[in-house]
Amino acid sequence: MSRYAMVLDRARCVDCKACMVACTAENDVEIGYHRNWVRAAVKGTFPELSMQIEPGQCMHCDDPPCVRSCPTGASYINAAGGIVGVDEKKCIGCRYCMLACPYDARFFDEAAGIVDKCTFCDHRLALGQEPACVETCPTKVRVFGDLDDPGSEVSRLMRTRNTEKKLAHAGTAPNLNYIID
Amino acid sequence: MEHHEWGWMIVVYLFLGGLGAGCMVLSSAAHLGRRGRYQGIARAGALLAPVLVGLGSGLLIFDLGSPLRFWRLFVTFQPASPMSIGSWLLVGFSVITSIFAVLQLPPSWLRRLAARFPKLGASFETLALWNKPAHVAVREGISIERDQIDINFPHSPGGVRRLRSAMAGIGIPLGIGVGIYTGVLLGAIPARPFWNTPMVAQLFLFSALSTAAALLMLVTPLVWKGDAGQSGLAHRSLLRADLIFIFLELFIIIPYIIHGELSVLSAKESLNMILGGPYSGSFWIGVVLVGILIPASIELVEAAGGARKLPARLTRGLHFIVPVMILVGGYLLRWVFVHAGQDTAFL
Repeated sequence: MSRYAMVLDRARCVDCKACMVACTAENDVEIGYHRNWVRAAVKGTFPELSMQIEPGQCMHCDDPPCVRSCPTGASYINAAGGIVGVDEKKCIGCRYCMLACPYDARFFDEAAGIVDKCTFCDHRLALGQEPACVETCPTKVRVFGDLDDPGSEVSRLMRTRNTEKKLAHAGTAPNLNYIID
Repeated sequence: MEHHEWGWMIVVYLFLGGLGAGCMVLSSAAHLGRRGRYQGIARAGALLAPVLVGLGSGLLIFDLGSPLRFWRLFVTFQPASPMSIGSWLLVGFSVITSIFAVLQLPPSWLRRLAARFPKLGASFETLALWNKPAHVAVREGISIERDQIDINFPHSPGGVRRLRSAMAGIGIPLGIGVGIYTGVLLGAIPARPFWNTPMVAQLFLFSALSTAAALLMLVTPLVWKGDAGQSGLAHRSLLRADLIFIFLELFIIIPYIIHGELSVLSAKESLNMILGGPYSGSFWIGVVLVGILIPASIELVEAAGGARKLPARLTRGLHFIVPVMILVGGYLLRWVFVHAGQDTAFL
């Protein structure tokens, strides 16, 4: 068994958006939509200002409201690894999952008529490769790995660094962890 | 207003679904209670329920990204998804209300159908006989010929009578279920704090019943040509029923707002959408004033007998305007909730 998770170091992100481009190219994401994001917020006015940059994507929650709300069973948690996915054959495009997600991690592909989202590049994982966003990042913001493997880099970071989960009080038990120290 | 995933089709669906559910509840109650006296309400509600819910469900399917795949809803049951529960509820509701509607079709319509389709003439004629209601004379709101009021369709065979009443009996809990479901659909989403309260289900249910009573005030005279005493009785009973529902609705809106003011920041911020934000006008003027306070005041005065001295034309005008106001308010309630909910996020 594996339990896939990610540790992200916001301080390393330079808002180059290479992760978004890599994801779009790797997964053939419809133009105009993105499975992952870099959200930047500027505070203050020059010269007194600061910038908070935060990359993200689906949090692959342990208790995902998108899966619970899905009326057809199209949204599911992959038993091997805990990846939250959408079965494109079962999705009817009702968008209830999008309203249920507190992270706005899903989007509606109007041309295909179904909801789409990050898959942690499970097709690459099957080949022993890392997700495209992880591999491509020039500053190594994202670290991906298996929490069930104590020797993995992700496990080591979770042991040694202080991390937070976004909207932990929403109770969805997300698997993206942001370094805060 | 940013882009909203759920738009006007969902708003209209929630409105029509609630309206149809309320029509079935009131129609069934009219059919089962004090048999025969409220036959006009029973007929109008029975005819409207499957049509309204059918129209609404059609919009719901049309709103899907892949409408042709809607059957995926019915090859599975997802007990944790309000939408899955609701879809199955709608199927049951459509079946029960359709049977009930057929057994409430006016004999005059059926005879016209018999003339139009001579091949099926005999069946339509039989149904027309079965559906011939008992003549219940009503004077001053009291039915006379008391011996007749135990059976509202004396020409139906016993089995048909029992089937009709069984559909009405199942129709009440099923209608309440559909009414509650339209609210739970929104209320079950923690990520949208404006929706995520246990009160939205009751609010939608009572609004559904109130709008249904209003619609039946308008439609009952069109499908039931009773004498003046009978139509007066139908209107008076719908008016009293509506007064109960409209005040229940008001009593939920008030704590809804108080709760939001006293709650955590997410709930407070989302309530600001209606208390002093983009939806304030529609909410206060449309939902509260036009949809609840003004019609409730007029109905209160009328129920207390205060409108008796009005000229007949003014009374007829009021009997048209007040239900229309309630319907407009009910629609705006769904509109405000669907959109304000999507404008808010979990903090």
